[in-house]
Amino acid sequence: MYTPPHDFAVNLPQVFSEVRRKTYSRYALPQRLSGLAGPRFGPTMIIGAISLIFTGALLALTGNPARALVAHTSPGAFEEVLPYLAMVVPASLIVMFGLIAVLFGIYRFWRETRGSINDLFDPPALLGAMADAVVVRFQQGGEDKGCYYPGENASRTRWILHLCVFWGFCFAFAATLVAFIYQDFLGLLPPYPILSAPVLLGSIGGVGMIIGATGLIYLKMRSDPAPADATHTSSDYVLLVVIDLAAITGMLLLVMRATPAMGSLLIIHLAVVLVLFVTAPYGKLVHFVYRYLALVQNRIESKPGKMIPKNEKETALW
Amino acid sequence: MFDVIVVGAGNAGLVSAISAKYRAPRVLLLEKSPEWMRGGNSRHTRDIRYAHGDDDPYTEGAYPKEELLDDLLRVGGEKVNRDLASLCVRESPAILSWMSEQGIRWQQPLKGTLHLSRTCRFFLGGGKAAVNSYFRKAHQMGIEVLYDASVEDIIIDGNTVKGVVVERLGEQKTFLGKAIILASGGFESNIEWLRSHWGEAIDNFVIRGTPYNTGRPLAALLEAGAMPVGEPRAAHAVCVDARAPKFDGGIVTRLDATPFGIVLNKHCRRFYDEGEDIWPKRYASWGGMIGHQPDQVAYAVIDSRMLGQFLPSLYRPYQGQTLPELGAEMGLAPGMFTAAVEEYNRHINRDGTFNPAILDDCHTEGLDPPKSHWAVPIEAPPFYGYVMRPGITFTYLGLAVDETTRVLKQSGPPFANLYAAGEIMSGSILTRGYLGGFGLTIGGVFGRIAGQEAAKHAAN
Repeated sequence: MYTPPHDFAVNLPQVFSEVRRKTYSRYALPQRLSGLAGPRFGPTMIIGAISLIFTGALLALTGNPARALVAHTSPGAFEEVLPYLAMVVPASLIVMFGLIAVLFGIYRFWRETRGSINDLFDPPALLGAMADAVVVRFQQGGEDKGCYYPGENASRTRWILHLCVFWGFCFAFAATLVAFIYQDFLGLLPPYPILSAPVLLGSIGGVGMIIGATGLIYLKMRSDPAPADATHTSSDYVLLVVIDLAAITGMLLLVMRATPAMGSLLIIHLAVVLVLFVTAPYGKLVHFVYRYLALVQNRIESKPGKMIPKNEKETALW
Repeated sequence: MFDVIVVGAGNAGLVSAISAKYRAPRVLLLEKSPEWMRGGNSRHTRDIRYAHGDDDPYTEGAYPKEELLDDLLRVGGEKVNRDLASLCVRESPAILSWMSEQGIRWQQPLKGTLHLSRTCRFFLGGGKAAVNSYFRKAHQMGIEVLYDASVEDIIIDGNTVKGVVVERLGEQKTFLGKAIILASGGFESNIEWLRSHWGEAIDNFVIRGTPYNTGRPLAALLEAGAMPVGEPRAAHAVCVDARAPKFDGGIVTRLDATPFGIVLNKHCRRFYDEGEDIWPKRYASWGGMIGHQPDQVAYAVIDSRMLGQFLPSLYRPYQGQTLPELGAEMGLAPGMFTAAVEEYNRHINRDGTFNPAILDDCHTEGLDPPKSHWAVPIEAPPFYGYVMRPGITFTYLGLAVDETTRVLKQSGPPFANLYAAGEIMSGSILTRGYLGGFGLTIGGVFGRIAGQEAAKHAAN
């Protein structure tokens, strides 16, 4: 009842959204980069351009530019364009840095919000929170079986689309992992057949992310912007677009891998994925870390025996 | 021509319209406020009182019908219309299930932070969420809703009403209906009407709820010979922070510091026993008392030991390291202010044991007026103070109705097709004081009846 244009102008969802955005940037390392790239398309596009130049330069220096524009389908075809190490080493370094930055963020976040880092080693809470996270439990809405988003009627669309992105991401990650095993332990070189595990997992993941991210962008454009923090909303858009592009270029690469476009697509796809990795610790993507920690907090606080004494007389007054 | 026209879209009006729409094809709901402020004072509510057994998942323990009726009669005294009160109590469990069917959702107990009440059930998301649920239902059912629609007059022809005259965005329009339900609340936002009772003092009052309860339909009906009910000059009023907005500050501007310190008027004089009885029994009398003080203003003073004893205030208290400093902060003469506090301190019997949960034995001796309980010296700096104004919650004057909510006339049979629900007719039941959460019960029970009766009348 105090929402704007009321005198008190209380906009709780916006405050929560602002708090989330500030959390993500407060614990980022270095902090300054968070406000710079996370919510802005401009800097993200610059990072994208640099990534493209970088992968292009890698191609020029270590790969085989002449092969980038002709079709090849034999095992090892990707490497014929760009050597394996040139693909893997820069990406790994960036991911490693991101991981260290995020671990540092987790440590500081937990210390500041809960005090003791020992509290975090609570297996029932960690597992319970994981169970909440994998089904995105709290986006299902309450008793109305949905959230009032994007309109005024309860809907589960956002929850379903978010699940698509989340599980799509997991499948794509699994595909990468399996491909890594195939290549480094079994000695099987990509591209893999359509019916192989990496391609199937990657395709399911890719399609899931395209449907989810495109759908979420559509919903966001139709929703009322007033209950959200504008900067945070902008971070949402940036992440959704980058994920969508990564998935679309990945799927195009799969479909057109037997054509002369493969080389260029590989470069573009790698550049987009690189953007995702580079911006990960500074953009909306880190939300999965802090939302998960919040779920752990919730699990710890929901344990029985922590009731706050009630104040019955308060309910009687108007 | 509408079957049923409902005036006012708070809880009572929304329930009336939905209830009518189940039986009548064309229902029009007129709301005076713009869309963002729809829902009247129901926006500010949190919980609804009703009789229930101990198997209710949204309350803690049983609340039998007899106990609810007792509570109601104890608050209201002899003037309570027992037939209507019993009817409301009897129907209260059913209205709760009916509300759930319309999409209202309830707060379940949360582990860790929130306790439920024994007597009342809380809306999930508060009154605003409840109002939004009703409107969703109303739209789904095809009820026609008009916002910014101020009912200026009601067209009355002898014993029947024909329609309403509406002013909307600068245009006047007449809507005809076979039956009309008034659910437009009291007149607590009508400053000119209040001025006729309170004089210029009204300019120093705060209205706690919507600015749209101006009581136009109520005045029109009283003029047309409807039978009034309830004390015409009385209003439910509590002490609110003087910094509160003139209208619609809602529940959060109320101040509960009174029993934990002393209250002075602008001449630095105490004027009433701050510790007479437990606060829930006295909070509603302080609004009126401040209204009778010069300039309708009062100053609550506590020391640092009492700051955590009551519900935190919306605005920060005034603060001073010394008493003169606090007095000056609040705009009082520092010398007189300090003298008043010290006089109170000198008269305290220091043998008592302070206990806010009971009527304790901390009291003053030889002080006029006395402070009978919780009298603890104001001596531990920093000192805190609040400037308080009377804040009107609602007015008591309303329309008398029969058990089918038909509006009664001063003479002759009731209006044939005019019904009333909610605050506009609650004066029969809530004759004085207030029983938390029961305004919604009245709106729900009589709104549902009004909707059914009006639709039935329209069908014949």
